[in-house]
Amino acid sequence: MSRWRSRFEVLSLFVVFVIIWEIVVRFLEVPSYIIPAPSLILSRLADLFQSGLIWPHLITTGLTILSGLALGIVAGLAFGALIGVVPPAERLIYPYLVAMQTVPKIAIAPLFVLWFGYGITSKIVISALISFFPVLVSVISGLRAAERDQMDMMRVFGASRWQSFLHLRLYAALPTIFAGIEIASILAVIGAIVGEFVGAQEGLGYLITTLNFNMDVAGVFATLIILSAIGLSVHALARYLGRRMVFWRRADEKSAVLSH
Amino acid sequence: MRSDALIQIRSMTKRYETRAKETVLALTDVNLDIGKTEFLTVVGPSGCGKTTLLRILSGLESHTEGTLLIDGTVPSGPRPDISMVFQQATLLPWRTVLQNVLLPRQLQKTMSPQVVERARALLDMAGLSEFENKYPSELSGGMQQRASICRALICDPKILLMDEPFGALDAMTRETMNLELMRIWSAQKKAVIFITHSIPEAVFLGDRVLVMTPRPGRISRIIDVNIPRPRDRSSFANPVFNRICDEIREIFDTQGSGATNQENSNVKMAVSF
Repeated sequence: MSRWRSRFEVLSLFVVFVIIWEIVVRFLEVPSYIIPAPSLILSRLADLFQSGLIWPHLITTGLTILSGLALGIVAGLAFGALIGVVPPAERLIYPYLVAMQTVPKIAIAPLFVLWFGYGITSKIVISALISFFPVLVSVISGLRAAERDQMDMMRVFGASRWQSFLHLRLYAALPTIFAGIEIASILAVIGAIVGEFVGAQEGLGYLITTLNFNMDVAGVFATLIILSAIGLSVHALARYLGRRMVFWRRADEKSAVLSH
Repeated sequence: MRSDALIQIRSMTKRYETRAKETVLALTDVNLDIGKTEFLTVVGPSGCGKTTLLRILSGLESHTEGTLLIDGTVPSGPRPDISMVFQQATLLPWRTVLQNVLLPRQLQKTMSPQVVERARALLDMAGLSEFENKYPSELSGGMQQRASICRALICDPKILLMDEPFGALDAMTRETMNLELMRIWSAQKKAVIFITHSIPEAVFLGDRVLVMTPRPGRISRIIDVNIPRPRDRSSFANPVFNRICDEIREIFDTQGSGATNQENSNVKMAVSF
């Protein structure tokens, strides 16, 4: 089946779903503060942009996601490389990292707001922490991905440990690392919103709580659409970069996000 | 004792210790001389120590007892005058064919324009000159293995170790590769130690066939192959060829292991797919 036909079918399914939603809501006269009609959500979405109300929130949350993700990736790469290259580091640090991972980050979000304040910093920290782990784990397992035969081959041809790392293990790790970054890109969005739910003065998470408080459910849905658009864009960017870097892999491999 | 011995092995033994703290005798009392331009093939069932022997010669592992002299010196780890071709082509998928062939030179920091020219000449000899800028995934299995042979030759080694290099290829490609290898080896004679599961392959390629048997891994017989060179397809029809093949099969039959008759080696090939 051609790519465009497949896309057309996916889109058709969505359109059918929205039309049925609209009909059901109108026909059964469901109150808009329970489930708003798609048409109402769309007009609220337009309002949010026309009134300019959305921009400060959008910019704050966008910045939070990008900085949080960047920090999470950098930290994940650094710690992962340390653990992957210096075996004793794994023995010492890894148990703590796993223990930390078992703590639900959402549960400690209030602490971060307490420590770093109601501003953007606490949200960036939460977003970074939550996106840190998939990157870390992917770096550690990725650096083990080189096959034994390939490692032997490097040694036979006189490669030092550093050369084996640079020419083999690093490249062999890239597919796994980018799968981790893809997952992190989605988690960074969740982290930012959770942080804003707990306590913020600005941001899309803050906007959702406010709209919800005012029973503006159509507005909440409209904000959710914006959020998922941000999430999709960040994920698409991560995926695009991954494919460019890991050019030798087949292009038809599925996204790592759903399999996680 | 051969006067032109490049590799001298005396009473060599290799012991492993398993995780369960049991000692496994992988090789016992190996005595062998290998000449400077000799093509030595090694046959034997799994567990006869042939891969261990090759790994010791390559410097990837060390032996437990006995002496090993390569070109008059005691080896300590991998060395540039010894190259290896693995069962899998082990090309790096993010490097082009040419970059893969040049890898050993890059690792040994001996790159030069002449080396690049040599790499191109090797690829040309292997019939891959049109593919130098392709990635390994764009090549067939046989082409990948030919590229890996070029990589092994780029350092102009004195010794070429080959660990079942054609074991993963289909029978037709395998036969072509055998003829190709003969051609390449005749052009630049080196000491070649070639491991295989296939008795006909061992007899067709080798000056001598080393027959190994397992439990513990040791040399059972060394058979001279008096089939004239250059060898080609017609060598298969040489009566000597069939006589030696039968002779080797008999060794395995009387040993009771029987693991290296043709049927079994086919099974192994199927498994390795």
